[in-house]
Amino acid sequence: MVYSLLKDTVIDLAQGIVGFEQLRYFRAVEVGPGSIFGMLQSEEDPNVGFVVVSPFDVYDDYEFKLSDEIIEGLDIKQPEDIIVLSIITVSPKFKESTLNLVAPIVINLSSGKGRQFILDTARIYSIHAPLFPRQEGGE
Amino acid sequence: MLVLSRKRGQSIVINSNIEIFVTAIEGDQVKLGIRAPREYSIHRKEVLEDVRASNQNAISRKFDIQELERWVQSHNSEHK
Repeated sequence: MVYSLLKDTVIDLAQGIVGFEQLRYFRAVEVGPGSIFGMLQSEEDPNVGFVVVSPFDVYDDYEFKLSDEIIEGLDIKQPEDIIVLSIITVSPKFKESTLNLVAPIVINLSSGKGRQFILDTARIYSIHAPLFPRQEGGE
Repeated sequence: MLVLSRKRGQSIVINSNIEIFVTAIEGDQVKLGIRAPREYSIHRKEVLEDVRASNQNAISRKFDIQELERWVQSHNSEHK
């Protein structure tokens, strides 16, 4: 899981989360052992934390192109260093929770830098894509 | 706020390194071309606002996490 890779890393999101530009340093920890869900927690404000998931764990055909600007901004040298996390909006009915596919958080494991990257709006992804896209039978 | 009128084909220069062109005017819609250094992010305002609002709504408290953990544990055997 990505969280074991991020375990001892303080992620520098440097004005990176829209609406929370004053918060810079975050940690990502898994919600439970082996869980695909994680908590992206601000080091500066304990009240700010986001439940996250790698979007590819939910939509395996999800893809996007990184702009030159973000590649330079995060010092990305190779694709293997990139970790992507999507912010989840947790619903009181958990199965109705959604994840933001329009603005993934892109992290360069090697430099520790990250940013919330807003995709080209010509894309077909949703800011509130279902976290559980298929109805499991019998539930 | 500075308000300027432009005709199709005219442009506005900001700070000598950003240029905004009016490339077409079709009824209600204005097409704008933007030339700026690549490190500048450019977005339609409503997309930015939607992301901001979504982020703000998504803030999770500690008890959300506990709920989540409990839910995940109870569903672990059924998933994938």
